[in-house]
Amino acid sequence: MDDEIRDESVSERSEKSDTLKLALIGNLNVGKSLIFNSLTGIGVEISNFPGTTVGMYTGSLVHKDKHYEIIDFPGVYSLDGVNEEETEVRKFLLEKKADRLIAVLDSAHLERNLYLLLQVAEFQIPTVVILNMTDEAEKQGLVIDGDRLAEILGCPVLKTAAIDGMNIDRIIPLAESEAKTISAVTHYDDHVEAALRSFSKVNGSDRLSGLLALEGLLPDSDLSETAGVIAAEIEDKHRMSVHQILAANRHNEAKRIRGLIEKDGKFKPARNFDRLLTRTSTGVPIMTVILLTTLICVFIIGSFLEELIVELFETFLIQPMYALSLPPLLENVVYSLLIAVEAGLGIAFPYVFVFYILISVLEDTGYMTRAAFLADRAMHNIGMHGQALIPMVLGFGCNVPAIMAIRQFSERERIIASFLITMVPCSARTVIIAGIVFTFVGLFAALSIYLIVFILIILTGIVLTKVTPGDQFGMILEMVPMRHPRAKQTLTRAWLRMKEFLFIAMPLLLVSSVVLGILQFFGIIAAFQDLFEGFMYSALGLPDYASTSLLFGILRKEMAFETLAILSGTANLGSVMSAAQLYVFAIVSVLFVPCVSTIAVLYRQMGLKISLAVCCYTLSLGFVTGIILNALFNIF
Amino acid sequence: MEITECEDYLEAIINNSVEDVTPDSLKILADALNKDISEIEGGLKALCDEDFIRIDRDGAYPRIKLTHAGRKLGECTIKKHLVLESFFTEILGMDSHSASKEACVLEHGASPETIKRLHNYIKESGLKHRMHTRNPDGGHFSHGFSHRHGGSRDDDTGDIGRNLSEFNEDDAVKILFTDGGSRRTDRLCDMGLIPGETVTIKRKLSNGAMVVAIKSSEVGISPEIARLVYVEKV
Repeated sequence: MDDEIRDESVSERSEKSDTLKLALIGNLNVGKSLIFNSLTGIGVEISNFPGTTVGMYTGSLVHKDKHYEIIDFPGVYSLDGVNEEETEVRKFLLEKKADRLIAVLDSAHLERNLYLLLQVAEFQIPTVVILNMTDEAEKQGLVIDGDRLAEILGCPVLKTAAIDGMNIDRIIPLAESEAKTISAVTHYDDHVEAALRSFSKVNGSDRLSGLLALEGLLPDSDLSETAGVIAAEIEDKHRMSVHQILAANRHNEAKRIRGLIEKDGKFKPARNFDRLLTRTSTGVPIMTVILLTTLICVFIIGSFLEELIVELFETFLIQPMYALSLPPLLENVVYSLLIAVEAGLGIAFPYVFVFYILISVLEDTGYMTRAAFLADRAMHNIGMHGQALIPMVLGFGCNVPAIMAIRQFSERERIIASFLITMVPCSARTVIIAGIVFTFVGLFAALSIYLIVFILIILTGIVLTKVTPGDQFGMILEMVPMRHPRAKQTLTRAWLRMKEFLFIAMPLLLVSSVVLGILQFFGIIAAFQDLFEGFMYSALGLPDYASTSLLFGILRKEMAFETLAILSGTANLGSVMSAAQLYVFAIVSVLFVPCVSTIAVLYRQMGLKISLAVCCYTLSLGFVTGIILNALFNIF
Repeated sequence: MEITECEDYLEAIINNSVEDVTPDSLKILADALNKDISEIEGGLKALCDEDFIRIDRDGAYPRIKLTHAGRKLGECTIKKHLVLESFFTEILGMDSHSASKEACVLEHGASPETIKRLHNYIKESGLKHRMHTRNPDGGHFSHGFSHRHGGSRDDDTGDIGRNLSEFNEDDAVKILFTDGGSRRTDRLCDMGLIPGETVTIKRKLSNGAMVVAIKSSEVGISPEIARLVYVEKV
C-alpha cells in the first residue's frame, strides 16, 4: 500500500519535471507576444486562468528532446495591483505554478520595466531577464551594460531584438540551465522593513507575504490582521498608502539601477508628427479619415475575398455533398455544418482578418493610443473613457474579441461597454447592410443605417451613464512610442486576435448551426414562423419568412441575409420585397439580439443577468426601431 | 531657564531616549540642541530645579528620570512639533528638513487649541488622499470621488494645493500627492507618478485630458484623473 502511494508520487514528479513550465512576464508593449510566438510557432492554445475570464496563451515546444510549456501572461505594470489581470498573475506566481520566469524588459524604457522586475524578484522564482528592443534603444543612442545588470540582479541577462529574431534562440537554453532567482533586494522604508522583521520573527513569514499582507493583498492569511493594524500605523505616519510607499521605494531603486547600467543617449527623435496626432484641431480629422479608410478598405477587400470563398465552397463542397444523396437528417446536419464553416471562413478571413491586420498596423505604429487619448472626451459622454475606444473599434471586426478586451475596465464601464459593443456593426452586419441595402436600395440608404445605429449607440450610452451604478474609472493609458510597423509583428498580433475568433467564436457557430439545422428538420422552425407571421406583417410589414431569417440571424448575423435569399427563393431580393421592407429588415437584423457567439462570451464575462439584459434590450430596440420605421414608411 | 528652552531639552531627552548622564548621551543632547556639552550639564541642572527631571546619582552614571510634569510638557511639545511638521510637508509641500527646523521654532508659541485644530485639519485633508487604501474594493471610494467629481471642486481642493489639471502644456510640475482611491493611484504609482517625481505636460485638451511625460514614457490621463494629482510648479 505504502509502496503504491510512493510510486504514484514519484511518477507524478517525474512527469512534472519532464515538462518545464516557463512563463513570460513583462509590461505591456515590450514585444512579449512576439517572443512568445517566435518560440512556440502557430500551435498556441488560448486558455483562461482557472475560474476567471483573464486569457493567457499557452504553447509547447520541444528543444533537444525536452518538453517545455510556455505561458504568456497578460502584460501588467505591477504585481500588487487589484485589477483582474494583475491579481491572476500574482496568484499564479504565488502558487509557484511556473518553474522559470522569462522577464521581458523594454530596453528603451528601462526604468519602468525595472520597477516590475524588482517586484518579480520578490517572488523568488528562477528568472532569466530579456532586454528586448535593443534595436530601438540603440536608435535612441542608449547604451546599456547587460553584464553589469546581470551582476546587480544575480541572474542571467540576454539582449534581444525580437523583431529581427536576434538571440531569440538562446532564450530557452538559458532559461533551462542558467535561470537563477534574482538576488537583488529592494530596501523599503524603515517602518516597512521593521514591520517585515517583526512578521518574520513573530509569524515566521517570508518577505514577500509580509509585503503583500501590508498591502492588504493576503486577506486569508494569519498575517492579515496584524498587518492591517501595522499598515494603518505606517500610513498614518507617512500619510501615504503602503502601496505608494513601496512604489516610491521601488521606483527609486529602479532609477538607481538604471543609472548604473545605462549611458543616456544624446539623440532623441523629433516628435513633430506626434504633436499633430494628439491636438484636437488636427487629430480629430486625421482620426476620422484613418478609421473611415480602414472600414472602407475592409469592406472592399472583404467582399472580394468573400465571394471567392463562397464560390469555392459551393462548387467543391456543398454541391458534391448533395450529390452524395445522404439520408435526409444527416444531409441536413452536414449541410448545416458546411454552411457554418463556409460562413465562418467567409466572414473570418476576408473581413475579420483583414480588419485585424489593419487595426494591428494602427496599434503597432502607436496610433491607437493617440486616437484613444483624443476620444477620451467623447467617450466620457457615453459613460466610458478613451481606453474603451480600442474595444469599440475592434467591435467593427467581430464583437467577440471586443467583449473579451473590456476586462480591464471597472464593473460599471464593463456593463456599459457590453451594451454598446454588441450594438457596434461587426463584419457580419456589414455584410447584411452591403448585401441587402447597398445592393437593392442604394449607398445613402446603407450609410443611413450606420448613422441610425451610431445615434442609437450614443443615446444608449447617455442613458446608461445615468442609470448604471458604480464608479467611473478614468483613463491612465501609456502612449506607445511611435514606431514603423513591421510586417512580422503586425501579422503576429493580427493572428493572435484571429485565434480568439477562430477558437472561441467558430466552435459556437458550428454547434449552434447544427442545432438550428436539426430544429428545421423537425419542423420546429416552421411552427415558429407561423407563430410570428401576424406580428411580422402587421408591425414590421415583412413577409413571414423574414422571422425565420431573423432567427438565423441570432446564430450569425449575416445568415439573416443568406436565409432570406434562400427562403424567398431568389437572390434578387429587390424583386420580392419593396425597398422599405428591405430597409426595415436590414435595420431590425442589425440591431436585433447579438449573435450566439457574442451572447456566449457575454455570459462568460458578465454573467447571466447582464447578457439577458443585453439580449432583451437589443431585441426590443430592433423591433421598436423597425416598427417606427415601418409606420413612417407607411405614412409617406 | 526659559520655558521654551526647557521644552527643547525635554523634547530631545524623550526623542533620544536619554536615560543617564554619560559622555555619549551628553554628546547626543548637545547635537540635538546645537549647544556645547558644558552648556548641557548646566541645562540639565536647571531642569532639575524646575522639577521637570530628577537626577539619581546612585550608579556609575547619574540616571535621568522625567517627572510627571516633565514628561507631560515634553510629549506635548513633541506632538506640536509633529503636527506642525506634517502640516508643512503635506499641506504646504515643504521638504522635510526645513519643515522640521521651522516646526522647532513655532512649536513653542502655538497654543494647544491651535495645534488641536491644525491636527484635525490635516487629518481631514489627509483622509481624502489616504481613504480606502486599506480597502481595495473602494468602499468609501465612491463617496470621495463623487464629491470631488460632481461638486464644484473649489470647495475642498482650493486650500490643499493645486491639481495637475490647473496647469498648461509644457509646464513641468512636481507631484505632491495623489488622491482618491487606491485603484486609481495604484496605476499612477506603477506608471511612476509618485510624490516627489517631476512630470511635464506634453499635451492638454480643452476638456483637461492630458499627456504627461514621465520616466522616458508618455501617459495619457483623463481629466478626472488629472484632478486627483496634486502638484506644485518647479
